[in-house]
Amino acid sequence: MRTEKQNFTKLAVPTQLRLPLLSIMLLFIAQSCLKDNFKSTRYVTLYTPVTKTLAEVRSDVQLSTPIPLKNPSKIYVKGNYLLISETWKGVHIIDNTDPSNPKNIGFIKIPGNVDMATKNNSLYADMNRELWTIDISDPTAPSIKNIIENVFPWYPGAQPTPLDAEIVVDYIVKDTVIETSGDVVEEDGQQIVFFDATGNLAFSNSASGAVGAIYGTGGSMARFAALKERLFTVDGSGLSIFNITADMKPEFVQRKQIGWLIETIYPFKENLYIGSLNGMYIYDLANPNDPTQLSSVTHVRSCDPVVANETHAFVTLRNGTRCWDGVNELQIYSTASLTSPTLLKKYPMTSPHGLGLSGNLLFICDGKDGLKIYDITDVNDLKLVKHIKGLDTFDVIPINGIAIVSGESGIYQYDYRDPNNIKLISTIDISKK
Amino acid sequence: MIIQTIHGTRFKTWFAGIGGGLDAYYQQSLPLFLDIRKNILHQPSTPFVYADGGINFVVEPEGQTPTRGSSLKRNPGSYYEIGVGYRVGFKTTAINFTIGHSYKGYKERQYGIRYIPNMELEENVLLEAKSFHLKRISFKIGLEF
Repeated sequence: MRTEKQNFTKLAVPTQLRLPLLSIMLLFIAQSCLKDNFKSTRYVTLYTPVTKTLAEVRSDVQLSTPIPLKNPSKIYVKGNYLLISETWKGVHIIDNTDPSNPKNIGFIKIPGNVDMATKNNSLYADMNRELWTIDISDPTAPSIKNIIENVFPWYPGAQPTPLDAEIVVDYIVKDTVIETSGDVVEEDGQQIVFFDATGNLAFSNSASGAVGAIYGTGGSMARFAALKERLFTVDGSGLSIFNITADMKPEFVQRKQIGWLIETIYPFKENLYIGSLNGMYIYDLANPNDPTQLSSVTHVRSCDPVVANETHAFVTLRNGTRCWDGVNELQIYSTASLTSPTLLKKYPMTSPHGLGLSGNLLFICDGKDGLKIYDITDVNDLKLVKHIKGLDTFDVIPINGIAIVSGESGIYQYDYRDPNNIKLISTIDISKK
Repeated sequence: MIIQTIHGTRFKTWFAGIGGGLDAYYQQSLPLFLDIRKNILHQPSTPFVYADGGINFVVEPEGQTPTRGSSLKRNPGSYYEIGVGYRVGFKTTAINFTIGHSYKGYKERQYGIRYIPNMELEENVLLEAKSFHLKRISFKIGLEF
């Protein structure tokens, strides 16, 4: 029997080198984990449209049961009622007989509605491309009296309106997340930004009534204004004129191209003050069927509602995504000469939105900086009368000693009859659900 | 490219310290870390192993994107590195050469505009949250004094 002895040569690794060698091995193993990567969670909201035919939409105009305010935009004061537009859905009717206890009494379905104005018992409201005239003699029983079709074809999102057309009346909203992962790559893409020059959160206008006509009162960021028996509306670039001499029977007069990036219209006495992203225009209404431009002033590109009194125009400029990279300030123009308004003074603001005038008081909604109330007796030295903080404010209608303020969380009413003791008297909550 | 400085104390063949640096890889950052290393030999020139661990602070915690109305906010992530090296010792100084595996991470949230049909757009909405994991082999040369 033969026995073989096998000799193995042991590879000698000094003890002190084992740790570095192990580390090097780990390093090479780790090379498989060298790819840069990322994990992403995208937050997406899906909107599924709910549609009705135009005929169904028109037949739906009646006062339905009250619904909570969710996305209010324009507010209009008509006598003891507040008309509050629920953006693109309709109009809330609020009984404001007692401003300390406003009552939501119903809702008029007007899909696509953004703006409105009133004269006597007529409510003029846009519905996509159409102008509807609704009889609100009894606000609890509204009814359509007139429709002018295809008169607002320039509105962003306006839909064609043959009777069998499907009109989007609502959206089913669903939030979701999309999880992705991948390798890290330098991103160098560009996106085009949609810009809606007329999609403001805004109020309606303050109108000075002609003899015999009773016009409603609104705010500073409106696109509808009614005075001198005319309804004036602005879209992104034009001014449309309707003759509303006969109640419930508006007649389209004409549309004038007046500029670009037009945002708001404010009527005062014989003039229209029109705000655009680029400046302010003043129009004369000697011939209300054909307003003529008296002057214009330009400023840096900013959102700029305007209000005016006999001697001055007050313009707030605001920057931001939709409002470009302008400034945040109040500008005061002398309108002693309407053909050549001159800039008198600028006051820095935080994020000014709408504003309103009542006598010597100027109300400014300064976004997240709340509501500011100034004494404008000396426009070169405004005195801050009251600064109400803790509100994110959009616009204000000061009327008969009550300032109606729209904010992120509600519609607030302040009693300012005693400017030294301005107090909150009621709040209409906005539901975020 | 990364520039680091580490300060610490030595005990026999062990070293522990606190380090910081400027790391230009992909997203500029400032890693702040603990450093531990062990010399293999009791000689001025010796191989060694090391491990770092800490927090990776981004240099620009806020940023822009090409999209109007969009902004980025970045938060710190973790940082680590392990590796081996060789120390060439002189009288009072030494030069260190290392090779290691490095990781740095950070989180990035993109805020922007949400377009809502027929509604006022919403601004500053959280659109996306990303976590980045950046890994590489590092080669470093260091002066010890």
